[in-house]
Amino acid sequence: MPMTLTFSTLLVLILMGAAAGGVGALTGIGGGAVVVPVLVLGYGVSFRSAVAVSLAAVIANSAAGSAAYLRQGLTHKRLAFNLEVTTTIGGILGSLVTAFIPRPALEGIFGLSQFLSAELTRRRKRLPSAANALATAEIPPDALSRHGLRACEGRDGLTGLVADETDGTARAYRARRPLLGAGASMVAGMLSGMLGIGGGFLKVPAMTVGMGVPVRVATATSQFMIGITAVASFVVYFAAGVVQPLLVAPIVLGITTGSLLGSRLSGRLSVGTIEAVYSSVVLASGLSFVLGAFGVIHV
Amino acid sequence: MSDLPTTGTTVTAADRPSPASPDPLAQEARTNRLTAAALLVVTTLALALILAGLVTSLAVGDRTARPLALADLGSQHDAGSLLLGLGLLALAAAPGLGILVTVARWLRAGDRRHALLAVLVVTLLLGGALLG
Repeated sequence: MPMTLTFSTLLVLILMGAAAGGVGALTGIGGGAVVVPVLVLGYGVSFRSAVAVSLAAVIANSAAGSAAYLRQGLTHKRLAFNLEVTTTIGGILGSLVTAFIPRPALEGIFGLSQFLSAELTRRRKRLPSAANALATAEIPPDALSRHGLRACEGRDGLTGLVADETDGTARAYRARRPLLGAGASMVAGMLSGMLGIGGGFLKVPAMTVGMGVPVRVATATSQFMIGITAVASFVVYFAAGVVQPLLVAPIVLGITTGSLLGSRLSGRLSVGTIEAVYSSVVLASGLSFVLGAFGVIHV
Repeated sequence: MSDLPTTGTTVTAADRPSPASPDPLAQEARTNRLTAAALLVVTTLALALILAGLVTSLAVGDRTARPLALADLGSQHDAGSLLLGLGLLALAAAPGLGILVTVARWLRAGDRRHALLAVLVVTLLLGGALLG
């Protein structure tokens, strides 16, 4: 049944988009973890249509949030493209197979992926943050601040400099296990195409825990990547006639506003706060979908 | 790590970056600014079209969300749907255009490997539309 936009519905969708955009920009996820549950559980929108709306929101969220991160140098573009080839292939495959998967199964996968995301974030806290830091004796402390940057990528696609969170001095790092990152990115791409969730929930822990990339660089790089991955899936849904533009509009407008605010707050909030916000959101949406998949609640 | 700055680049005048060998951090910062600008310009255009489409649709009393296929975009007769569709198309193009700006900068800097990777990603995005 087609959805009709009343004034109150319009307002709720804009505000929900703003909340999703803010959380997305702070955590490197695309906001789909918020958009899909609200549309499916709250408004009875079909799962595929909600996924298509969410993917459009993820693109807008990523573009707005990435611009701020790029200017600060936090986005590692070369690492992003190294991982994005497999992610894009996964995204296209995910969006193509979703038409053949029953809705309860999709909801169950969605819920489980959210739990996995929360668990990966929890584990991240127990790892030493500088496990892959390189010797910094040769790096001038003001290497980044001279250019107004908080980080900068190296040309080999795996190395970079990042400003120390306490004193701002430049520290070098090298990402390890690129194949693990590429594999995880492909899975993230598939889940993104199937569920409209950006895939940042898997990319961020894969880059930090798996590859040893500093958390702020991983978050910014993920924010850049999820937009590209979402386009790969969104164009498949758009071509297939699943996208409802009038439903997309208020959410995209809201999410862009929230994303701009969220990326500005990023430097002022602690990593712990960001992770707490992220875990709360994914656990709530994951639980609602798992309960829905098992018929405990009706969606 | 040879492309990352060391103390030598700032301590002695001889090692200071010259116009012939620009500071890699300054180059990368410029690439980042241009990519960010491309993303913001196209996204702003897309959002303006989407906002105009939403306002137009609501103004004429069209409040029912209906699906729109990419192939049917050209045959839309009401302005609201057309603006919304064009806005979504521009939104989908934003990351691709951002990538192309990065590719141009990397080609100029001689980083062909990563430029090729980025072009491959854009090609895959276009392929996705055909598969759909």
